[in-house]
Amino acid sequence: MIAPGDQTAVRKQSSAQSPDQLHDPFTVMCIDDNISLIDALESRLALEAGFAGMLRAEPLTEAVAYASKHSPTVVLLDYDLPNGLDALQVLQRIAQEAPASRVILFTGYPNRQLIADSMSLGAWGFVSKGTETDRLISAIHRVRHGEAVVELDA
Amino acid sequence: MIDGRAVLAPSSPSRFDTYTDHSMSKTPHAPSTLKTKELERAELEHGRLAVIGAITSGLGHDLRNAIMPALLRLDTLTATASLSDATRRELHEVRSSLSMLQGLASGLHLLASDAELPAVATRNTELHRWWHDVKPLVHAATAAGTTVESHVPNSLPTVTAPPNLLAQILLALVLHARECMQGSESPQLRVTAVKTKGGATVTLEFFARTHDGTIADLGKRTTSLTAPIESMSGMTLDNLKLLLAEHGGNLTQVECAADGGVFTIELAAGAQLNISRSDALSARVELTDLRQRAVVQLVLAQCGYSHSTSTTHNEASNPPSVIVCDSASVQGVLDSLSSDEANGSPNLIVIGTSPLIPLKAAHVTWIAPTQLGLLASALP
Repeated sequence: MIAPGDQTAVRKQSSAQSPDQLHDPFTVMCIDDNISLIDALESRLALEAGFAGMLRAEPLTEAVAYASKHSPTVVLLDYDLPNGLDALQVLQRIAQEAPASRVILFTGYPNRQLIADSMSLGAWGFVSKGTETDRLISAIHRVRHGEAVVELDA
Repeated sequence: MIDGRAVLAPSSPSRFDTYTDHSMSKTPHAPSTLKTKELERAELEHGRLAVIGAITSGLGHDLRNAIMPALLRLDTLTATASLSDATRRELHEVRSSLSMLQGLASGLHLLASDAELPAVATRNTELHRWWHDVKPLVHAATAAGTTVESHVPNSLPTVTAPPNLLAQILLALVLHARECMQGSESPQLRVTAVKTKGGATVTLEFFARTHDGTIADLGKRTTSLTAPIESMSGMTLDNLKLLLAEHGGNLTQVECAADGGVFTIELAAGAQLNISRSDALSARVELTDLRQRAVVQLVLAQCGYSHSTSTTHNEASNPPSVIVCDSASVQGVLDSLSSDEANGSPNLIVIGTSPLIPLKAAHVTWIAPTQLGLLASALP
């Protein structure tokens, strides 16, 4: 397991956030085998006010236990997990074992059935990997402030 | 798989027709043996093309995994205040290129995915989004110098044909036309999509002029689509029509003039997202679970409902078309309804498990919390 990293980058105010949301600390856990994506997302989120760190589950098979222990504000869960891991099962278990965490399913190619299934199993949001990066960041903020989101391709 | 249909085009000469297998016996085969061997070869080719398609589709998927981090890094870099204007311009150009690559990756995935897989075949297509994905591929597939004009507005309804199949049909037509338009003067492709009573129609208009009559072949080629083209499979016009018909669509060649060809693809409307309703539908949401409430509000908004809660509902306004509540609040909601309302209007959807004693109210639909994705289909 890797603890939340120290964020040294200067955090700037996001134009999408209202003043009362700026001091609301949040953490994001990214369950994905694409380390490059997690690193880049962490750097980008470091610009957002209130971002308190990126949580990473290593190995991915321990993701549910890690989410249960640390209760990240938002969990970004890749649909295409390696080694036969079933993302929808992971989603369901996180919804049960870390109910305070809000899960966004993150996938390359969404379809209507998958959106419906993920919402049934406890997801707060659904974001395509083809979406604009601003919309991904916005989706994280909207979910942490109580809104369900579906963001498809640009 | 786009090329998987090759075996369904018996009129297409096999690429193996010119293949010389030196290991084969020189002894003449009986007709049945020859036929078996030909079928085996066709099967092998089918399998080979299926693998190529699967790999290509996977590449399109993986490209996105590489592009998203690059775009995020660019965002982070651009937020650095110390950058010069020139550097910012450069970064802007890099972002534009990456966005284009992202579109190509989407188009590649659409083109190469098997449109018959159950998970894919049941997908509907939002045409505006679909065109965004396939446009880069269409540009790349047209003859050199072709002007591509398009009008695919985002007000079009969702259609029942899967996006992969539509991409494959479009590219098949474009690639066949390309061969005929190559070297012609001012080749043009116009793609227009309009809303119709039953869904939408996409019209493809190919125009090209030559001095030597080459373009006359365009009509012939696009009519039969049977000639073997190195870059394409045997997706004949008949096969394309058949595939589209399975999804309620219709492919027609409207016109075949000497200098161009016009095709229309009629598509049936499917389940809608972001419906613009002329009649004002409203909903009241009485849910205590934050996630359920958020998801229900999202679904309602996407299905064209305005929504309120008990705290924001204006008693003086018209009663809502539907009330969505949970097991804990359902009795209170029923008690608050007038007798007329309780007898049928508004519709009531309860997120919870069905009670042993049925509620005395018409139009009550129960949806288990673990089946929340069914809400859209339960709405009146």
